[in-house]
Amino acid sequence: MSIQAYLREDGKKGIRNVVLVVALVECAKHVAEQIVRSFEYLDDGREVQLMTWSGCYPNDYSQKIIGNMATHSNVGAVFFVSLGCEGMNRAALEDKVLKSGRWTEIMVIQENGGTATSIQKGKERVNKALEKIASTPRCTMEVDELIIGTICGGSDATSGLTANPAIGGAFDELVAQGARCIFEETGELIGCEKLIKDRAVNEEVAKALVASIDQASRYYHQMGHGSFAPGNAAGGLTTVEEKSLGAYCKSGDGLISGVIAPGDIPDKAGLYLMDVVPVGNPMFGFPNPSDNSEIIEMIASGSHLILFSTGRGSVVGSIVSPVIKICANPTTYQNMSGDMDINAGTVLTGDTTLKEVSQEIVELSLAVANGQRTLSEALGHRESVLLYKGGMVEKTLCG
Amino acid sequence: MKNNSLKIHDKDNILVVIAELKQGDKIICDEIHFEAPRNFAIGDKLTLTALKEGDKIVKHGLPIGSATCAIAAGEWVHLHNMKSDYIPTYIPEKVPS
Repeated sequence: MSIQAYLREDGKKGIRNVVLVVALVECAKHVAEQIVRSFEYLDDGREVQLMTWSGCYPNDYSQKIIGNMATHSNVGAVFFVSLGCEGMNRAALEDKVLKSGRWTEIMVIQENGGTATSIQKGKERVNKALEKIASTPRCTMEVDELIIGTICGGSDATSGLTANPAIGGAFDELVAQGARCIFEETGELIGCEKLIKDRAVNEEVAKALVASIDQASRYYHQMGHGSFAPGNAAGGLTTVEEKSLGAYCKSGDGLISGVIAPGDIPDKAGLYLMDVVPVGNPMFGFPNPSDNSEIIEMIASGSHLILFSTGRGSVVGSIVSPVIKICANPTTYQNMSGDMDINAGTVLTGDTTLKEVSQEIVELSLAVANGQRTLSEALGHRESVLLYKGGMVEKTLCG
Repeated sequence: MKNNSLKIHDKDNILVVIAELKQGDKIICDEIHFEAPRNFAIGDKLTLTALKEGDKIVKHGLPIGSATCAIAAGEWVHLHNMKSDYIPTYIPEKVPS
């Protein structure tokens, strides 16, 4: 099945057509928020979304992530809202977006008479951006041009039995069809070092995989975060390997082609581990304290859509790329079916098999790529979090 | 009757119970049938085939530890008859039997 995509001037193909409004510091957020709020989702798929960077001090990691979000395949135009005195390098961001062929402008609140006039001007300029992206040419796109990320959040004992292995099966199928698939959570791979090594495409990648788990182990140890708790055993789990495998099985069975840093885009078909843990000693707290801080990294690495596994019941979506929620627990599904795109809990009630759910995930992924809105999109979820991080930049290694 | 246990991966040598079961209940996974040797909670595991001491316990297609004694087919697999190959599992109280 071919996907009807949006063709950007830099050759990227997107599945959504977004004007991204970026507040370059918390101080610019209110103005940016008011601008975005005045625009509704348009029937032709165009949409205005908000991304906020809260900090003032510059940070290489956040600069890279914003730059990648602003030039993402799903984004057609970018409007930067700056207070004027913050540390983020807005000229470099503008330059990157212009070079990608996308429409972009910066508005500096201090140079535009403050809040009210900036909101007014911002609305006019974003209208201009919407006009620009209305004429984005359409093109066909195949599965082998898709990038798909996966994450789990709000996990429970059912996650490792239904949704996670079903996503693994879907990943196997998507990679076989030539897609680029990304998984992460190195902290939850502790105990799987020997196992993951055997799935590496070559010796170099094997070493990088093990090193990334070792680093996660060190980092979490220093943060005082343990992994296997006695309650896990009461819940039927036995060993740290078993617990970690429940998360690890989202990656399927296939060979692992490389380790990537957040914001790096894998350039050929295959399965990639995203290493979200900074090198060295903890600097800014936990690597990713919320699911959306991980989702944003996967999108910054090019993900067109995200497969999100949940047992307890997460409700989040994201800016820029749609999030498909796969509910592992049949009871949670009953309670929260309005948020769950797929009910993998049917495996536990004996109504479907893992293979059938995997197939359903593949089919829904293609439908969503083809424009079908996910439930979190329809409900208006547009979460985004961007953190201070360090030591991420030079870790990518692909076999 | 519906399945009340799950073989997650083709290579697995254990089943995962997906319903609350009483001792003597029938455990079903497609054409595989066992009689429950004890009460089972959701998430508990049982062997598909007889295992020798040192055999790997395979779940999700990968080893989660190894058997510390011979385990007959259809037996409960937990910390009383298997161990981590990575790091000993710390349990503060006696493992329930």
